[in-house]
Amino acid sequence: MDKIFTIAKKEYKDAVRNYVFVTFLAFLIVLTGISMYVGALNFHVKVSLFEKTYQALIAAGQPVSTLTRPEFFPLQLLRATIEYLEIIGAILAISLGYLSIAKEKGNNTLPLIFTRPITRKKYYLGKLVGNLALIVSVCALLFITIIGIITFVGGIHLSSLEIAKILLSAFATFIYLSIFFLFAALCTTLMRFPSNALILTFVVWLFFVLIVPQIGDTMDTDNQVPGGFFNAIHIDQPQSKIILQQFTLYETLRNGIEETSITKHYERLTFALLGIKDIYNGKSLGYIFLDKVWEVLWLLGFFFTFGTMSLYAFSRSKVLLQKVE
Amino acid sequence: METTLIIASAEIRALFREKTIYAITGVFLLMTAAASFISWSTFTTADAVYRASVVYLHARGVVAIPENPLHSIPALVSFDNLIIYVLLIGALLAVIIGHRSFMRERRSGILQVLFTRPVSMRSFIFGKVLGLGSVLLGVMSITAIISIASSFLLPLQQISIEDIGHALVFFFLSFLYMLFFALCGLLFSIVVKSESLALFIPICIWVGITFVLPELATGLTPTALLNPVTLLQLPVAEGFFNTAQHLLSPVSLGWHYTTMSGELLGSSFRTSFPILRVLTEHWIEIVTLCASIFTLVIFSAIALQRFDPREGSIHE
Repeated sequence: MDKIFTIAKKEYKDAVRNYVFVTFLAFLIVLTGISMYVGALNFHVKVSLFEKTYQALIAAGQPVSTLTRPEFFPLQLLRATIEYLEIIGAILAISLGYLSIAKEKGNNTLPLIFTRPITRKKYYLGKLVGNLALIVSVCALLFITIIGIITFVGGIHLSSLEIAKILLSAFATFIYLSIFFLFAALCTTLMRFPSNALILTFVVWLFFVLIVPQIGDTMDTDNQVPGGFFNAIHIDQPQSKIILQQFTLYETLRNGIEETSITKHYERLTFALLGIKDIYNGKSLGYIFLDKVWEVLWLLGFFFTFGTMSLYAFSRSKVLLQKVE
Repeated sequence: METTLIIASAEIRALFREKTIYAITGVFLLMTAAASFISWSTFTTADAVYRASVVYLHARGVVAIPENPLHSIPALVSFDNLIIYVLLIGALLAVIIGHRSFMRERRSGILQVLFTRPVSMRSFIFGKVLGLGSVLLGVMSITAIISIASSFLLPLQQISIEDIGHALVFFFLSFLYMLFFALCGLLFSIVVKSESLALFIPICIWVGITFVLPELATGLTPTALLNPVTLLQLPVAEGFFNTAQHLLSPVSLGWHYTTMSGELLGSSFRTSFPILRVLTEHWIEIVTLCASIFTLVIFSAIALQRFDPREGSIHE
């Protein structure tokens, strides 16, 4: 156990002393601040548009009962932050996973390390513990900053339920980032050339973080024409549902493709927790958990699968000890 | 001139030797395949949905059924996704090849020897730029040929000569956009001593140009900025965003690229604008992009003049 902690400590210290990592983290924090500020401004714009429309309707003697005043929910300010974590956070996690294996593989020092009395399994577990602790620290720092900005800059008092929701979102972020860390470590372990592993990991990142989550919208038939496809051919929503019943395979495939994206599961869970998706606003944790249990299971499933696979690969892989030119 | 060409061809050969070029071309072809497949499946289904709707409406006695709205969509809309892929992946890959271009020389320690030969620093940097530009242009040309060829296989896509012209202008614009990022990678690999920091700074610039500036100018979240569908529903610029749009416009290269590409391909408002109209309406944006590229070349040349080959080894 001592050996695992010694390696974990070294991994953690290595990363914290690396000023590129520290600068990247600072950059993420700055992005968080900017995105929350933009979120607040966006809300102001909505309110101002509402006021203008309201005044215009009053002046024209029209009824205003159809207008809904925009309501402010502080946790909704986190929308862009979550999206930055989905994209940029994943890059940070991939870099950590890649570097944790590649630094020794590239230097061909692994065969030397394993002449010491330490098993491959323990060595990898040490790396894993160190890097996961690092990801925990990153998430803690980011979400504490978020709570700090809302409380001290925004002057908003957060309820204990809201703080609990932010903390659960931080935990979901930890699992999400760890999945990318584990996947990058797995690829770098299994592939002979670390640079090829990095390219493969980025291709996977590109596909599951950037392409697949958009597929639901881009492949939606109704989105193909401005104003809506069905609207253009004078078909209302109930009628469109009847017609689309003939295309269940396509709709299932479209949703199925989205389901394969870990980013989509993370987004659905955090958007529900933070009330970014309106229907979950003000709902209890129990309600959200029951409704989003599938997303939780997907996230944990990916986490444990890649965790086990990377541990197994590091313990057994023959490629790992091969010399890299 | 001869030295410049030798260095340019050495750069291209190095990219082939490192197999980087194959990886980049592979990624671009994957992007093209993904964009074509998404368009093909969506259009085929939407067309089938229209036919099913006609049958449904006829069965209910409706006689006046509107024309298939898909026919009014510009044929190049199937290229929509490519705009986002170039904005993200193309630019990121360009940063990497620009970065590796000079780091390769620094790692090998060849610079100390190279500049004892009659090779001027100016011809060296112009050779590098020429080499990088040729590779990016080559990759974009292959992507263009395959994209245009595959679009003939898509249903409801009657691509005209004019459409091909639009597509070619879009691919050339994409090339310029990627060249800008490749030169960012090159410049910082000369200026910054640490290899990872030299890669990290252009990546931050990429994040800034792709997400932060458009977010400040439009209020759209990062994911919305990547979605061709939500880009069509751009909110009205009010208050801060109106001011930000004016202030940040000169440096919002990513936003300019998305807007111009959208107009060329017809993804903006589902209507493509004539090439000349796009070029004349956005001449300031085009000049800004070209001027940025030119500035980066000049800065790289100045940075190389100040670069001491004796201190050129990698610092971490």
